[in-house]
Amino acid sequence: MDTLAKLEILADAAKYDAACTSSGVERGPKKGAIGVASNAGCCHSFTADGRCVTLLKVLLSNACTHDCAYCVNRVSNHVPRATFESAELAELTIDFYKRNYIEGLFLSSGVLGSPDATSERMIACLELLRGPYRFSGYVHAKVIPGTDPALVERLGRLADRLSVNVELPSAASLERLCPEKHAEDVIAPMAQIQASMHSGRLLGAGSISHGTSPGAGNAYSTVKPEARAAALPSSGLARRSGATRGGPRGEAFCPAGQSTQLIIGATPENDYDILTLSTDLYQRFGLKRVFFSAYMPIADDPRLPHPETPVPLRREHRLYQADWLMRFYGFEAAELVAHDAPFLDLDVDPKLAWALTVPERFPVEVNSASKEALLRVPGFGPASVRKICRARRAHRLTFDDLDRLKISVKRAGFFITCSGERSPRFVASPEEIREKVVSDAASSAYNRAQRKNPRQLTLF
Amino acid sequence: MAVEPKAEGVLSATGLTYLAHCAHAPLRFVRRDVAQPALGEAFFEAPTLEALAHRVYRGFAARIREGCPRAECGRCAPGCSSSCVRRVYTIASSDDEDMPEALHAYLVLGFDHGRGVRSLAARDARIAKAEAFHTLAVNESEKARQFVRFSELSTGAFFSLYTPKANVLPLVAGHFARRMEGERFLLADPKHKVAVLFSEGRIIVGPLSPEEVAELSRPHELSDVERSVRALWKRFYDALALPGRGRHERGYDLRAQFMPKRIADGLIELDPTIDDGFAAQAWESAVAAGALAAGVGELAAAQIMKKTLPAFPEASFEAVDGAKG
Ligand code: SF4
Repeated sequence: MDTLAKLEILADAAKYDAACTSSGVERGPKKGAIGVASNAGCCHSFTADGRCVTLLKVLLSNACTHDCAYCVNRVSNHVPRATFESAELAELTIDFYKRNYIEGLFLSSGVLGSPDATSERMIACLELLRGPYRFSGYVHAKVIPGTDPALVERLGRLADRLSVNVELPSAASLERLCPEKHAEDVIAPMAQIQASMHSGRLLGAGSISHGTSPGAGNAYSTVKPEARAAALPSSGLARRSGATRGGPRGEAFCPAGQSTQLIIGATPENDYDILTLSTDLYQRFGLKRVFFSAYMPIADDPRLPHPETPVPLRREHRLYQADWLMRFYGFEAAELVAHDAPFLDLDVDPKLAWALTVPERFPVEVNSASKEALLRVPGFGPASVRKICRARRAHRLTFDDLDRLKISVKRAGFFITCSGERSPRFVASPEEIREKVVSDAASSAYNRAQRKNPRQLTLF
Repeated sequence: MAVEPKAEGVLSATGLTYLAHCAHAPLRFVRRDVAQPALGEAFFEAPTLEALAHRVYRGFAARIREGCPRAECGRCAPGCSSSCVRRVYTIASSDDEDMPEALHAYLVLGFDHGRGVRSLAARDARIAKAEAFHTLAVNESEKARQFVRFSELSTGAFFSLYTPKANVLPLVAGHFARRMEGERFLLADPKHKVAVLFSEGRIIVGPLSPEEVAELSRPHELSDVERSVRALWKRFYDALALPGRGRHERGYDLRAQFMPKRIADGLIELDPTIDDGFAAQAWESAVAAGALAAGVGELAAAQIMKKTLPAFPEASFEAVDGAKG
């Protein structure tokens, strides 16, 4: 099979993974090596459905011996199979990189017999890329649950970011849909990666990770990752001495941190379960990102939604918004969803939905409110807040000033005062605000399309 | 003042007005190429004096950093992109006819108010414009980093024509040079008639004559594998599309928001004529023959650049790195 055909099969097989960022690590040029990494990452293209393309995201092989019900690569599915040679993949990465098509490689794989055998092949490929090919750009590698910790360690010395996909938001769902996978096989490498990054930081290498404060407990909480990590072959100096060295990327362990993915809509967990779990994962394992991937019905399996169920795009979008609020705006999951209201509002974004439940906190005065309070105003983002904070140092702001600063108050106008004055758009009751915002949005093309597609809202 | 529409033009003219003890309020800075005097106005053609421009830039940097809590010993603190100072270059990259006046106001008010100059944007329309020009430059630079597409020439060097909405190629020259360590490339902007050459670790930025633009716009002889790599990239890109998430289900075209038509038109992955298996086979034979490891040859277009010298101080190569809107 030629490279073109393999590329088509193995890119198609990898596209269900939502993660495609190249961010989190800054690495300058090195003599004799090609490539750099930039903290902010860079999207080089966008797919027909609008997802960013930043890395050459492929599977090493889709000849998987596992049988996860939701996965297109499962052994029982009849699809063409292919496996890359290491050199083939290294050449492709370098060729695409030099033309500014990509920032680097995202390497994942189906299970070729065993997690260890597959990881060995992934490592061989990355060693070739980092070694003889002197590639110093970004590499994201997927850790296959059940991989030997020593191999995870080697992968982490070659890749900038590692990810272990949780995929299903509860241990019960995992057991039902993935007979060969176990919750502890997912959690253990996450804990190991966290521990290795932490010891790297103590030794002055790698990226800064978060602390290991234990989470509030979740569907996986019976697993004790810290205990498991402690039982692993020791981290720190001993581990470093055995690590792969000498590539242009240096030897820091997983400097861009780790991430994971949760599939949304394949199983019955609600948004409360999902956001509680993601909070716990951020806190416990210092994850850089939790990605949400709306389930695309691909199998006629009674354990899964019907194949004609629309992809829950809007739910995925709201979860990303909520995740963003939790990471950058100081929100907690409990402010956005609750036991008795476990789904995010699909009609309005989570910040607005929250603001409507706490009318007593508004309006805020833009000339005196704290940065944190301004960030919680629906319609204001970090850029608007920065502009306001800077401009109000010179003089008191009016609505005309906000207009000159190109800060829209279409939505924020319901929640602020400027020098004591209300916006002309102001209405008093949360119901009226909601009505106005929804009617504004209803005229958008997005919502017109959604109305024609009511099943989008039918989750279960 | 009719000035050359670039940072050095405005810096130099600002320096001249200081040296001549002119009051700044009655002065209006305009682009030399589109200058139209209003009734009762007289234009002075300000020459671009590079040395004076650099002196004004250094003085401006020192003044802005005075009292900045993030700066120590006259230098920006680590982690600060010194974007208040570098804005001189991002603002100057705008094609807008008000650019010279906005930059002039930014410089004059910056000398008066120090780092507080940006806080005047809500009340001073010229500073608000300067901020808008800066934002456009940052956005266009990011687009250039994303969507420049290099082709490998038969000489082994890389080449790209790219047309941004502002003159930002000099601002992203450093980015591409870091990325392509050890390679040679020529990146040219036919609209702003400027080219960036990177060769033997040196960045050269210079103007292009209309004849040189025409020369660069002609088809070039590509390397043996170029067509194959394009075919592979297109095949990869096409394989990534996910059903059920497209513009019909979503109700709007998300891809078009990120890649507007002016950019999409130049992208290999959206070119329907590219996808030929024959080309990809050529790539495989070349890989097998070790052709990709061959050294780079002479850059065909390099001759064009030989006559020019760096027209921008090195600071401008990094002007948008880490800059925030
Ligand atoms: S192990 Fe991975 S590739 Fe294999 S069936 Fe499960 S999810 Fe798919």
